[in-house]
Amino acid sequence: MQQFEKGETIRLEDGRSAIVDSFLGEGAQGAVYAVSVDGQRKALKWFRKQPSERFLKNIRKNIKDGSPSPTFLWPEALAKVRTGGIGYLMPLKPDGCYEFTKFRMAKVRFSSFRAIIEAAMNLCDAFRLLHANGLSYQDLNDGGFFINPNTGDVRICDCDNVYPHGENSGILGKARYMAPEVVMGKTLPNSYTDRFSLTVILFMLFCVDHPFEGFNVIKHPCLTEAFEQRLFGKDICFIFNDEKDINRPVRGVHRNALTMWPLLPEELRGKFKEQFSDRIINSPQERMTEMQWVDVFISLRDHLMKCPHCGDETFVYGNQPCLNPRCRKPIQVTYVMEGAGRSIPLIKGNIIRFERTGVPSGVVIDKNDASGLLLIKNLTEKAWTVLTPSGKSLSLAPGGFMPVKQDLVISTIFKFKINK
Amino acid sequence: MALTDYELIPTARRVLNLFMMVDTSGSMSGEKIAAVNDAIRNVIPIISTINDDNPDAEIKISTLTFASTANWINSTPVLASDFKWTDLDAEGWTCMGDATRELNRQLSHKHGFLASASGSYAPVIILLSDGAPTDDFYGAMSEIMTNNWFKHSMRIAIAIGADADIDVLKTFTGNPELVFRAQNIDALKAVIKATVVTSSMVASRSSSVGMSGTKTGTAASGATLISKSEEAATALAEELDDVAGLSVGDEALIDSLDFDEFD
Repeated sequence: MQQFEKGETIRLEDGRSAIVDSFLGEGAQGAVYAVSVDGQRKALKWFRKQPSERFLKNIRKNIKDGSPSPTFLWPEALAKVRTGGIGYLMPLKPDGCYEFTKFRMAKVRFSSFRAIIEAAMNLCDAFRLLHANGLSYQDLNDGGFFINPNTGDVRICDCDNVYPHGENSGILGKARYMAPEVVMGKTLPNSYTDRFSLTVILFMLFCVDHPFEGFNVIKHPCLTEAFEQRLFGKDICFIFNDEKDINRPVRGVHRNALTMWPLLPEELRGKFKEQFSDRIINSPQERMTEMQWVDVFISLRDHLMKCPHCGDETFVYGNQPCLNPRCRKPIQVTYVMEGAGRSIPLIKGNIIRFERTGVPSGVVIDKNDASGLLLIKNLTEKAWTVLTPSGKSLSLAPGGFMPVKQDLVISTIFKFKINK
Repeated sequence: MALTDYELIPTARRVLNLFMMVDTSGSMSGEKIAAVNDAIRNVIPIISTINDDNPDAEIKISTLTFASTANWINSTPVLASDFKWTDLDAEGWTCMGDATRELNRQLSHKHGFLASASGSYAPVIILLSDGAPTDDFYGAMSEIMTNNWFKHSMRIAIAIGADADIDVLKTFTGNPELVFRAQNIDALKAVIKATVVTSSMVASRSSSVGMSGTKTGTAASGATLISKSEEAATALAEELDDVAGLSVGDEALIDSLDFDEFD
């Protein structure tokens, strides 16, 4: 229900005022308005029901401590009106970011694997920083964020349930996203259960379907609450579980999972299988941390490149064929660059990204003569130190070239060695 | 072949069937049936939006009217976004027993309305009546009580005016907190809208625990999830808090007491 009209002024607790611009929408908890504060465009969430004092005290603390990452649409100031009612100011989501539920409904689609990987990294990075600050999100589900389908830019909303790890917000979460130990009533949400929910979302980014919805779930014509608690609690089973095939995706129903899963590199599929195995499901403390996920996505990014035959996006591992069913030509990799736990295939056209942020550091090009030799161009603004097998130390200026040759070592923030 | 060339479909959604059982007996004629028509017409676009934005469920609507006979308005459940309301007329007896039998017949995924490849949620059934059954309602109730779909359904009843038989509606819902008595036309419109919207919202998503900050005490046990019927009852009570001329549960029972009997 729209409560404020355009032009209305609402006083914020920090002394500033918000001027209502437009009504943006409504959720279960309340309405969201676009407002302007000191000429800056912001969002104002307004609660339908008066929240508890504990809830408000927690929001005030979160406002004071500040956002762990700009990815969160973090509360900035509380607002009250004399007639009763309360809300808070937060950043406005950027244009071009869409609700994740729209991706699930196939109304919005990622334009590339690169965008999916960026989105996955952005999500993991945000939760890594949140957890590093001793906080937990507690209600991680498909309704809590916006993603740009072309860039993978992410914004996480509904940050009003963020509580310190170990303290409960009063929210258990949404079934099917909650960790099984929460569904079974063994624990309240915390950062370990957040990690389970995060893995569910990561799977959905790539596969669009739900990781635990297969035959074993849809064979029940009526998903009663009792079934829901059993199938997402005690009897939870990953649709691609290697040991149990009771819950496989069903053709015609879970079509997205069946389409996308075979396209993913084994490196990623293996992580999902491991994280959704009975062993890890039952050992919350052994779940992968966000940092470990980021490493997986960095590696995925290292192996994602344009096929030298057809020009399409493909994952290059060893001498596997191109993903494009109309190409399927094997992609030969002679040299790789190894270091910092990574292995980057050196094929023509590949962009090398040393840094986690993903800014291009170098590009592999063809010498363009009969030798077939590959070269690497330094795309950074700093000189690289290149160590040769005979022990020389050379400087490669920005824009300069070096050959792809066995045992050459590039020393930047990390050391990378060229190998066969 | 780029990533966008692979065909993706909306993620498989379970069906949430919303059944509206509307009393169209003679006593409903005039402003009561007009209010029902108006309220449902206004609530359809809201349900349609809930359906479109919901990756968990697609909402299908079935309308069963009952007067001298019970009749389905559509031969199969209609997706909320395709649903068109045709104004109902009121005339005849109150064959609520017949209606309950007809509902029982269609609450089946093999022979009835509930077939779905990706499964269903437990249905929502909203019963509106302004009178007392003129046929064997309790006989029909004992039959439908063996239907598992019915047992798991979320049932809400709206009693229109003072003559509605609250005991019958209480028997139907199995929960006095989900019986609402609307004493006037505005209350009736408000309760239809709130009931249809709230029940669809609650029932069409996966189980979860209430709104932030409002349920701390209940959830802190960590042992059980709040049932959807309970959640709907709470949400409806909050939603309808300040609607004049509306009473709920025991209050509705007290309202229906015939004080003259105690003279």
